[in-house]
Amino acid sequence: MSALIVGAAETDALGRNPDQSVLGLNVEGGLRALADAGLEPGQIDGVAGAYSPHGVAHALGITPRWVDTTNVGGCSFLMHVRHAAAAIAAGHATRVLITHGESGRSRIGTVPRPRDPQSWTGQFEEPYGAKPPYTRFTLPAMRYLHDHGLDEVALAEVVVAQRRWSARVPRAGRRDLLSVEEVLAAPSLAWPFRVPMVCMLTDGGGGLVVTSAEHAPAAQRARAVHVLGTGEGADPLLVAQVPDPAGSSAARRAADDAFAESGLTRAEVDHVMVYDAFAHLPLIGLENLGLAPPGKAAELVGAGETSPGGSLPLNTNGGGLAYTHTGMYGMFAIQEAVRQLRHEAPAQVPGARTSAVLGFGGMFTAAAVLLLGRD
Amino acid sequence: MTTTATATEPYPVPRPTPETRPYWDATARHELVHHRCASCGSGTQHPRAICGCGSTALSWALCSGRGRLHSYVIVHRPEPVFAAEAPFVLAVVELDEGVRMTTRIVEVDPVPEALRLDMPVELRWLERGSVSLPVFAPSPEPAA
Ligand SMILES: [Zn+2]
Repeated sequence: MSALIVGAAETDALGRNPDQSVLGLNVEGGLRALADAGLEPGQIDGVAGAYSPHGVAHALGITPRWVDTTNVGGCSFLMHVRHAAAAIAAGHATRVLITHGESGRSRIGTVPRPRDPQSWTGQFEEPYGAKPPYTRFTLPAMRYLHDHGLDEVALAEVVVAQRRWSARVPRAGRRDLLSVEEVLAAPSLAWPFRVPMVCMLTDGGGGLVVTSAEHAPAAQRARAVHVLGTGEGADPLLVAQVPDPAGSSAARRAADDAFAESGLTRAEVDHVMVYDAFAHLPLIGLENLGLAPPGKAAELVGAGETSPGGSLPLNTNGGGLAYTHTGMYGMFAIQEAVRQLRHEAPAQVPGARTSAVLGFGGMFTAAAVLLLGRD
Repeated sequence: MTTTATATEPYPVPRPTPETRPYWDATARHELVHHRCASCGSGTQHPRAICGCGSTALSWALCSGRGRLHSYVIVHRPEPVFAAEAPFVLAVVELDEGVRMTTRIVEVDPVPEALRLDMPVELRWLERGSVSLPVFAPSPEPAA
């Protein structure tokens, strides 16, 4: 892999943006990423996004010759980076703009998602009352806890650890430090998941510019982030049928491919972002990345190893649980990894040179991994 | 405008496709079936064209109706249409045939103390309009 991320930015406001549509959030994310890269829309020839990349391209005056509309849920943007790197290597595009925008809270200009009683989920999940993500994405969590001799305290400790990061991040939506007892005293949405164990619901967006060294603006080369390795995978569409419900076979395949491509060892990872729509995912994510033995991630979290000053800094913006979560969080996990590698993060990990980003999507039925680094 | 909004949304009920019609026809007879591979013996709740082993020898087979509680959540804040039923137990049950499915656990207090993972469960039926949904209730432990 020789692709570079030369532009990365989030929308100015995160949280509640009632004066911006989904398209407007994508456009702002794209414009800010272009400004960060020092590029004009006319220098972009490829576009990707989970919303409507051709609509975003038109709004920005871009005439693409490569378009990727991959949408597997929240990890889509990790796949866009992977696909963009491949397209650039193949000569199908030179500079790709990836955008995300979602009005998760204000619901301005969102694409309606009516029930589809003929879909797999409409036939086999929704009739039982399984529709909100905290009733589907979360279904394997009890199995994971049970199989490893853990309980709800392990979920609460993830929240406690991530609040230690978000407390240091001015843009984070939830910044109060919490104790395990306070987390467990919060109302249940779908037991064992209490409110702080479930991601935020926000408006916001962001953008990335991916290119090759040959087409990178000269001023960006020193702060460019290298795409060292990538992977992706998908499991059956119904969460009950994923082959490894207490882990994630899709995440494991993605991680193994990404590490093989990068040549990095697990020990060389300085910083980790794991898609955390729910508090069990950082545990399962660390294990499927190969950064903790099966069932042992909770010990690392409980011992403070993923917290500030720990050996495995994890979700250093506070994550989807405490920073922001528009509905498809993957863009923000990548943004925080880029900030850490540029040494521009509010809660900076000293000397971070490599970052592993794991995204989940499709209610735990898809996954993607990026290994990023900076010279 | 030719329609007006109804006060309450109806329960979501499955609408079969040609591929899933045999499954839902079976539920109308209060029979639970799964799609089974004659070559490797593995099964899935929803139909497949080709098994992961490569075989196309797939057909519908009757389930015993017995299984074990694989995982669950207790839904306290459901979609509004299900509000009157909350809290309820949304579960993954693993059938004796090795098939996992999303379902509900009924005839049980919706509290963690009553929901031991791997406890045996057996088939019940939940009527939703014209559709019968397979759900499960705790069953006595088999004699050791
Ligand atoms: Zn087979």
